[in-house]
Amino acid sequence: MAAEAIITASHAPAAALDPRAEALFLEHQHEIYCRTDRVFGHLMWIQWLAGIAFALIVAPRTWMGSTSQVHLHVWAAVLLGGAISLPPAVLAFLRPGKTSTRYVIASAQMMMSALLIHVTGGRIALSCLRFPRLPRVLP
Amino acid sequence: MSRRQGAIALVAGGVVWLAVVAVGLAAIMDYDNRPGAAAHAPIHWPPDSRIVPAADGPTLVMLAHPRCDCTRASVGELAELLARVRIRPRVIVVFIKPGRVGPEWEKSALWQMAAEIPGVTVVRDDQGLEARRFGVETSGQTLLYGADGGLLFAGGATGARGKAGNNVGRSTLVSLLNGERPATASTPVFGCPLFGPADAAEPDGDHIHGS
Repeated sequence: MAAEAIITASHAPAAALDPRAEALFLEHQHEIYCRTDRVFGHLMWIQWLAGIAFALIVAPRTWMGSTSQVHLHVWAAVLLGGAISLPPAVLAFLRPGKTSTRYVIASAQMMMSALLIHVTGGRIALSCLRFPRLPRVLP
Repeated sequence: MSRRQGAIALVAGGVVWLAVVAVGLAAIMDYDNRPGAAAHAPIHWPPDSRIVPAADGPTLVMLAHPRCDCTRASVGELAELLARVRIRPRVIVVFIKPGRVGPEWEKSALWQMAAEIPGVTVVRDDQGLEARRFGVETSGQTLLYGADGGLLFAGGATGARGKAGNNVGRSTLVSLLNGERPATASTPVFGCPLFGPADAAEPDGDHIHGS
């Protein structure tokens, strides 16, 4: 019965199947985009906190003789890291699945990579974590 | 707001966002690549220095602030270059200790890191008198003197603040210690200032202490 159903379906008119198949595909694709965007929305604030932690661990203070002050990298991790992470995080939850949201997230990932490289003292290996989504985001 | 207006607002917001972030990243890059004050090192080993140079070979002196995190990379580069040279110099890492800090202030993780490099002597320079004698103002400053006491190199061993990895300073030192002729005898030094406004030197005394 199952084999007959498969044979029957494969011989159905192609024009009647394609629009429905395409609609289902697009719907499923959109669900994946939305889900992925929300994952990256959470990732944004997690990596922001991680950047602050890296800055506090690697170089928390800068010294001038006997006096010290908070290192510029810590301020950068807090302020610039927040500026990089906040817009894509907001878009990920307000406009999930939109192409513009994916562009913003991809851009933020690259810029966060640059920031983390500076904050960690040039650990270039971190940069390899930042680009995996890029080929699928940019058409 | 119409759809068109919304799209324009989104694009405009994106441009402003990119511009702000670009300015921030540029500021960090500028900071990381801005060298500290270069040393005015004497061209011959200062005769009044309490540090004893090698009698029959080159002497490498690195002057550092014990709490400068950027200098961690310089000490790491020191270990790297010592592993690559044929002529092993006498190596002294001098950590300055300002006059207004408590006991054991200089015994930081950086001190320990330097002390663990084989063949390296770590000393404490009270009030930075030796650093002033060598004309050094920035942590990580590296000086190489030849067997005849002549200055061969004065500069840093990193390519940027706190950045480990291949750099002109390290390769220059390796070339000199391998008997080669490098293209330069000085490089920029990246690190914290050794002295602040409150760190005036007091009269000379017994200011060098080993580990």
